[in-house]
Amino acid sequence: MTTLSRVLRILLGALFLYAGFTKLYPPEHRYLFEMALSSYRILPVAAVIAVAAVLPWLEILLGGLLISGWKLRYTASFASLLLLAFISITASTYFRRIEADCGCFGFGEPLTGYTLIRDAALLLLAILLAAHDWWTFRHPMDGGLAT
Amino acid sequence: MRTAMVCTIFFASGLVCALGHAAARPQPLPLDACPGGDRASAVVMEVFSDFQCPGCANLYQENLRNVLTDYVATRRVCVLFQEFPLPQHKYARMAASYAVAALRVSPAIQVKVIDTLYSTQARWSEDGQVEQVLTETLTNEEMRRVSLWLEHPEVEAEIRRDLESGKELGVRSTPTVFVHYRGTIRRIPSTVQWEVLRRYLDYLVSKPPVREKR
Repeated sequence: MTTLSRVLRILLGALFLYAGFTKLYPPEHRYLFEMALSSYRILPVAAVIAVAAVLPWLEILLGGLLISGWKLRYTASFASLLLLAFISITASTYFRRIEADCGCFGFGEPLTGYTLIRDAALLLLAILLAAHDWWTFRHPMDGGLAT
Repeated sequence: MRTAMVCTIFFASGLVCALGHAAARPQPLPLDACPGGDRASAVVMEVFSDFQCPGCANLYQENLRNVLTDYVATRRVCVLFQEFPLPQHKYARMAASYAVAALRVSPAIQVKVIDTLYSTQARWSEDGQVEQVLTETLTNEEMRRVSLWLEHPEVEAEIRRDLESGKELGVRSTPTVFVHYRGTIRRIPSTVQWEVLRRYLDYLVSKPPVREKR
């Protein structure tokens, strides 16, 4: 289970790193991400610009922390909450029938049911990771993580 | 343990496929005409729309009208209107014919026709009285010249070409907007807020021109 946990956190961390990096580079992507966020029609313009500036760095930081395994139970829990927020927003937009750009891993990907399934799979992965680390923290005799 | 590893690899493969899907890009298309502005503009917005679709009217009224005023008029951006009338919209093809015919007269009249059709969409979508709403905006002479082109086979041929072009680019619904810039094509969301779209266009037009290699 320790090996599986390590594989899962590296996988999830790499995905967060990729997601954050692709929103920042090349510089045109920063504007494309603003447009993707804007297309959800949830936030006012000023908030769209602020979130678009902060979120990619947050994803990169989270990705790095997940890969390093430092304070895994907290970082995995935070990743779960972040993914839950993403799913809530994308689902709300999808069911309002707004034709938005996902903006998740690159651009030009319309928001579809498939996007929701993919995000749900990622959320499941993050919850498994967090739950496992919390469990081994509370029950160290049952086998701990090598982190 | 082995089962868990197999599951993880399967899961990871799924995610890699998902990322590949997200990165799919349409192929570039040759831009041989740009009626909504200067075809030498560095930034070309290609808009596939249906005059009877409410989303297209919103896109026009919230964004494209501003693009025409602020960027096309100053020759910084070109808007290429592509007709994509959907079969479920009874009068969309007729409206598209008027827009294409108007372009044959002049780009300025085409913009006038497009503006009128979107502004009065709710009216003519009910009864198909496209000509009636256009006569309220166009002068008699403009209307006469547009009507002359209306029955020309080239108008229908152009709509068919636009539809084919859209299908080749993977357009499945309207409105669909592509931005062509320095050999790349970006599909941009049609529900974007104007201030955010303006930031993107400002970024593109502010970039220095690429020097040609000798």
